Amino acid sequence: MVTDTGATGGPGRVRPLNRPRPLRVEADGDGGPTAVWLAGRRCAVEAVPERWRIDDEWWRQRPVSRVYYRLVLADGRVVTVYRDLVSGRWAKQTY
Amino acid sequence: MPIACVYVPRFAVEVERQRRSDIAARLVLIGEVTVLDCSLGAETSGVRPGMRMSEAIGLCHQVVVLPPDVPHYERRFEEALDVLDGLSPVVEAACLGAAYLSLDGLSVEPVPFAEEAISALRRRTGLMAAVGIAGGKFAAWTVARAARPGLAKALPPGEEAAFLAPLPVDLLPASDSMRWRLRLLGLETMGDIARLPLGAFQQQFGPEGKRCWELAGGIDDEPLTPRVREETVVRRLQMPAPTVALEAILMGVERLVYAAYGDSGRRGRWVRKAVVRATLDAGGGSWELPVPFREALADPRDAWFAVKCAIARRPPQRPVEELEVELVGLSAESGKQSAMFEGKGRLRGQVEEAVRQLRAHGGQASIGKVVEVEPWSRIPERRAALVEFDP
Repeated sequence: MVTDTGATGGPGRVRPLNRPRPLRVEADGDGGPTAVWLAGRRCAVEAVPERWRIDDEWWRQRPVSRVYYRLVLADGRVVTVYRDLVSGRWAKQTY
Repeated sequence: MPIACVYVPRFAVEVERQRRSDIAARLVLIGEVTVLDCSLGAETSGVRPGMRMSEAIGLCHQVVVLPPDVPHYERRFEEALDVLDGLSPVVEAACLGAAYLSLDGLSVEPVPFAEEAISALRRRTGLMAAVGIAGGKFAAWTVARAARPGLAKALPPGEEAAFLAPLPVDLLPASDSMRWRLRLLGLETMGDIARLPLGAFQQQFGPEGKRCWELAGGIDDEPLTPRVREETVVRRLQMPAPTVALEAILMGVERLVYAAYGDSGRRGRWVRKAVVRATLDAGGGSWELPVPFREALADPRDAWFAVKCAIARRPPQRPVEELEVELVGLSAESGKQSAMFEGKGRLRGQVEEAVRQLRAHGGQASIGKVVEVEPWSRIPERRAALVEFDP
């Protein structure tokens, strides 16, 4: 007699990698980022070397529409963030 | 340690001009989506390697656009390196058209040595090079770039920093973001960088900044990486007529594989890889197909089977004039390698044991395996996923 473990069968979980992480961002009047908050500290944006937009999965209920910014921060770090044009939220994500 | 940089400007264009007399006096662009190389005239019109081809065509009047034939350029560059090998015991191939030679231990004066290199290259390959000699690779390269083809220039020892000072920072091997920030800070020349304290500069730009600061100040102790000359066996076959028939091409390659295996140069050694090349008809350039074997092969029948399968998957798309088979990775093996299955099985056993130990240590530790899901996706989180690993 085999005891029921209660566990769900199947191939196991699949977790997407490189998921966006919510980020607090200060933006100027045009919507461009001027400062980001990383680990509780405010970092001013020194430069925006690149900006690009992706629009995808428009046929789905939740389409993907984002504007990505590659930012050079005042301390020299380079981070990539995006603004979700559907929800208006900001997130950090390696592209 | 004096180093000579032998530099053939616009190497790909020069090589194309040698085999096509009709483009001798024309503006030339080589590339597909982006420009790989361009002639001096095109460069004067504002074209730069790496530029989008559509943009480059717009800048030039009546330009000839050629598809890149990289295997051919590489072969011609190898010929040039063979010539330079006769001049110095240490030759490093920097990139297509540029090589470094060590003058260490050679009882020659720098400028006559450089003139000999230019003359030998001109005589044996028809290519016109410029040579720069300095105490480090970077300085030698900048000197060679500044010299006109056919001329040699040597920097006196210790003069590197003074020579580099007025040159633009764009010559430094810096990333795009670093170049952008340098411009933002108003640092236009290498002298501007060299005058700054290293600590402050490194704090701004990290290890890349340190390297650039040193190069800008003429400090460059990067050693030469000697070119490794691999022993190979090459066999060629001229097709009776240009052909696109796969059967005819396969027949020719089969003959070449068997002939190469029978070559005395192989001396019974086993082979790890074959490279099949073809010269295509009517200026169609070259076609190249590397076929690495899963294990070293001693039997031409096994090698031919692997090569045949590879060609069937990716045959040449234009009529073939000449075929070539090169056997590379000649190993000293005399017995059969262990089967791949055993090796994988051992590794898998080790992974399973590691997972068991982790679970014993941390309870239901989650062990994952990264798999590609949609690597082409524009949405970063769709590209790869972590799946539970359950051995």
